[in-house]
Amino acid sequence: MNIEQKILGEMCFGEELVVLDLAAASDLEVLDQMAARMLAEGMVKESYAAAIKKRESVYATGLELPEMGIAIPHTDPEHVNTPALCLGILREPVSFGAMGMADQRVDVRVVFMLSIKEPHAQLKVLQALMKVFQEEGRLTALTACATPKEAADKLRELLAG
Amino acid sequence: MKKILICCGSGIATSTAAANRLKEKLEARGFAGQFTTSQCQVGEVAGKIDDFDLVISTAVITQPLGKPVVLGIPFLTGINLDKTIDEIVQKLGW
Repeated sequence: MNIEQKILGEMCFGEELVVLDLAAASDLEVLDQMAARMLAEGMVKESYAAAIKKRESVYATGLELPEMGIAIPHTDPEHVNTPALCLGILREPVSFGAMGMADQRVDVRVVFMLSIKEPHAQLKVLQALMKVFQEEGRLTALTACATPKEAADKLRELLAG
Repeated sequence: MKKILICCGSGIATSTAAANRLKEKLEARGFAGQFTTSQCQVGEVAGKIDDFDLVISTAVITQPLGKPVVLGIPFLTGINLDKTIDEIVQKLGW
């Protein structure tokens, strides 16, 4: 599956944009590693890494779900070249700030980093992601993947329905 | 017509997903045609609040707005979503 074959026709994604067994000491380190991958694949501009870390510090994106904690870091369109999704599966949970709740933290296992150009153009992927979050077993299936290709194929399958 | 303002850190990602889910849920409860939604960044809310009846936010809002504020995280996680819809319906005075 090619990176240019967009998920739901909206966002670039492929095994090149999967960071498996990601080891990091902090949320900002997770963002650095994933933003570097987005940059290497040409999805975002040089300024994206700093912008996404700044955004996460002000508006945290950790979500506590029944299965596990996840995060959906993203930032302003000016730092984005192409709408894309980067999947990070962490070796050990890393603490992120909880979205919408001051001073609360979430132990995050899976990170969906988004590069978004305009609000409604990526709505289908956003909705499909929420569905993945809300149906038990789906995130666990992702974390069980052994290779980036397997994880990329699994996420495509989950987002498709 | 009730006017609902939905905000998040960027005004483009989680507020979009929340707005869409909100419309589905309110329409399912028979409120179709009785509300409108707009989206913005959380930093813009204070300047827009006069035109709205209720704010739903996925980001922390610290300043008092003088209008009801509902936390929008359940629209993303699905956890306690029906309770959140109850709260919105009640705060809109429906």
